[in-house]
Amino acid sequence: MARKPNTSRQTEALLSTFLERPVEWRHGYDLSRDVGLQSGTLYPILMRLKEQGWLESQWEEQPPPGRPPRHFYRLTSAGRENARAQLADPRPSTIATATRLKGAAS
Amino acid sequence: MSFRQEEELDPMQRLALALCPVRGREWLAAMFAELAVIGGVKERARWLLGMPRVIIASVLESASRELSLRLRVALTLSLLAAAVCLISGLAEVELVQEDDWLLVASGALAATFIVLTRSALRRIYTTPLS
Repeated sequence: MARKPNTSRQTEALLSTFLERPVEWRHGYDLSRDVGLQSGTLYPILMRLKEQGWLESQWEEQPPPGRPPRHFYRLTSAGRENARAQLADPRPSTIATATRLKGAAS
Repeated sequence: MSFRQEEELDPMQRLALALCPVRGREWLAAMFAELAVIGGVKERARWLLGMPRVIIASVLESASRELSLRLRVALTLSLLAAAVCLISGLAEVELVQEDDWLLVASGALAATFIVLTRSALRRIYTTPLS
């Protein structure tokens, strides 16, 4: 049977972090620290969420001189709805993992 | 979307972007951009270590999209048939009488495999983002 999309612990921890400040644009490094995920885990999840239409992204338009533009992310309205629905009845393991990941990050 | 101009990239960034399929390049560029705000050698090294995983994820995702099931079956059959033909031909094991044609067939099937793989790779690395 095919696995349900976006139900991995890491993905749910990321969705939960996005929902804490749902309309705010976030950077990859900030997300990595907040969720406690390595970049090699975080970015494939972001890529998948974007392809599924859960995530939107944009480049920084006016970066400070000498620094390249950063990439911003936030959930789309559909992504927020889906994420809320998915996290509404979380598995105990998801809560434990999200707590552990955030504990490790802080 | 705003990638940095190619002339601004250092050799490592160029190499990483060249290895990455088109689909993942924007994400890789975003990871490089984050390096500018990450302090500490350890943190930067950990961040860089994630890049191969992003490249691999992009390759796998692109390959699974580009290679339709039919093409994957053709690829696998061509490779297996070429291997069987080559091994039996070289080992002089006669699967059928007068099996010199097996060596010829192995060449043809291997060529099919190479052409199919090459065409898939070309699409993965050159198809513009939609």
